[in-house]
Amino acid sequence: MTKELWINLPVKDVGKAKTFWSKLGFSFDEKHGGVDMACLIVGEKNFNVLLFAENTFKGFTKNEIPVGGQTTEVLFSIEVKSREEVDETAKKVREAGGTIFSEPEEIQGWMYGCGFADLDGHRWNVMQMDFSKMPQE
Amino acid sequence: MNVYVNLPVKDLEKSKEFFSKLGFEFKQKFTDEKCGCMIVGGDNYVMLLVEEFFKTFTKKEISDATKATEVIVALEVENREKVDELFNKAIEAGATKNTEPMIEKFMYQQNFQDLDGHVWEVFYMDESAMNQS
Repeated sequence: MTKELWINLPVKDVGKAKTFWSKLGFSFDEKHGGVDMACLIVGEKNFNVLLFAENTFKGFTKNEIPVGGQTTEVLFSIEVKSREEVDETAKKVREAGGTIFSEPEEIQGWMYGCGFADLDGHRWNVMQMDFSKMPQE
Repeated sequence: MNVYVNLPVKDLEKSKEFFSKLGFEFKQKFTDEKCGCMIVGGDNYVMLLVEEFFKTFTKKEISDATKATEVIVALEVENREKVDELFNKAIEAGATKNTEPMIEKFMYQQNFQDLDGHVWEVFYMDESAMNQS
């Protein structure tokens, strides 16, 4: 039924957001890029995150944007293959000006991850998951 | 590299019922009393997490989505009819209309707010027409 899932996020400065994500190693689909938007490609399944300038975003939702990352409506989880990738991403986030709110650590015995906030306060976590160790009910 | 979208919900059972009425299925292996793993677009997942559980990951208060919107989750469907179909199902299941439909040359979309106020967009994009312009 649904072909693809897209995410739209507001950003204060599209140029700065592009620089931030580029430093983390992500690329952009220029076909969907513009003055007030950029299309961030995440993952292997062409999961697209459209970053919109705040005013453009508000035009879509007719709603306010949560102030300054004080509250959170959504969390994105990026699954990676190794613990090293988690550590590496945390390092890159710091260098690019993001904030680590959860240091890399083992979670529930079968995950290893960290949590970070991007330049606009949107929250992400980077996780390595070992489903073979996942507790069975 | 997989990506999961996690959204907080007040009442997981009601939310699961809501999205089931829209035609979505849940992956049972990752669904329990705290979390519903909804399959979207073949192999992407939207995780519906009860609010307290959600907060353990974000270490932040949850926004009141009816008052401020941080994200639009957008569902691309195959044609205009399917946009209306999914949108109408959502309204019947208790969603609120968010904005007027957007009708443009290559795009057609309808937006709704789910039971928790999260904004969803259902859209059709005619890529062939877009490429010709």
